[in-house]
Amino acid sequence: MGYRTAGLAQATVDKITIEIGPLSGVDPSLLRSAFDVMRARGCAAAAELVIEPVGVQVECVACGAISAAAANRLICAQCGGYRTSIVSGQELRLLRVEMHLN
Amino acid sequence: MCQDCGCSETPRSSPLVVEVLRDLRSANNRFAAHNRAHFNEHGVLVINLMSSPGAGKTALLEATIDALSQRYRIAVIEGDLETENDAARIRARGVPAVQITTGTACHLDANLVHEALHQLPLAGLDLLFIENVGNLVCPASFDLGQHRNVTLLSVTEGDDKPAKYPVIFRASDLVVLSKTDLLDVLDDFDPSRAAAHLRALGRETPMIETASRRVPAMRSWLAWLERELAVCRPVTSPPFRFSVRPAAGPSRAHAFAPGPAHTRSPSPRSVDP
Repeated sequence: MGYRTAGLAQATVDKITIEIGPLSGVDPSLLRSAFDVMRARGCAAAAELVIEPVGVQVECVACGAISAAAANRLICAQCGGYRTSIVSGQELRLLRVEMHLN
Repeated sequence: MCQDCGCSETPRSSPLVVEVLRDLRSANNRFAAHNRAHFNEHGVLVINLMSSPGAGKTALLEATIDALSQRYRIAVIEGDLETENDAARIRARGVPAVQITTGTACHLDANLVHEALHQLPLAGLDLLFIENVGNLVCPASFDLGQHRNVTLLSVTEGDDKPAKYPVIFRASDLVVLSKTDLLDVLDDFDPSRAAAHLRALGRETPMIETASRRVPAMRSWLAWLERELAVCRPVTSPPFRFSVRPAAGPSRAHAFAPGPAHTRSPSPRSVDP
């Protein structure tokens, strides 16, 4: 698999920061081992991978409270409501890339 | 200058920090929106059927086809690592099926489904099932362009599966307990415990019981399907839009603004029968 480095042929990636929520379906440690394989020989071969954790938060449809939750217990911590929307925890985002021109 | 902090090193030129803030699933999500536009254009209700391997997805589809194929035009996209076995079972029921073999991949993605959907006569369909690869983990992370997610939980698997695999069960619009004709001989599966674990995921997802080998035990599943089809049936003025459920969370598949589907005539040559 090749890297899209058009216009960045002279750039070296130093650091890649991503965020992974517990409800994204992605395991951070497995992604880290995959990254070690995928970065070989590319412009990010020496890059550091920073994974920022995100907590699970839900918003209660009934009372509107936003509360922290466990991945398999997504009910409202305030009123015990069984209908919630997910405020955070599903993230799987590339936040920033730090690089330098050679 | 010292030997410790790196201040003696030649400074590297042009450090550059690029803020990206982009969802790593965006490429798949774009394909999924495109698939959904195709489905909506033709008024086809598309159901992504997920479960562990062996929970009875294909058996449920066989029984569903037997019950509904006189009234609705049904097709199936089958996902497996290897073999055409499941597609052959569906075709034996007189319904077109496209088999996707993923090789080593443990889930379907929107791009694979896109390739398959162009082998189906979408314009002549009411209902398309996508039978995902048997797996309770990865399929939950890939939007395929479906309108509803249905997850099977067979009673031989354990009633705490929703607590163990919260992502896929939270993403489900319906949970189908399968093989409930075995409940009499199992003393360790309590449907009410499964329902409680499911309820703890905060979506009040309905759960129904089925047994594909017993026609009466299919009633609530068929009724659910017919209700969903009724939402889809009045295809009067295209482009049709499926309703967005109020309980949908931020990354739910149903909140979408589909782009135009590209026009390409279906290729019935590869469709059996």
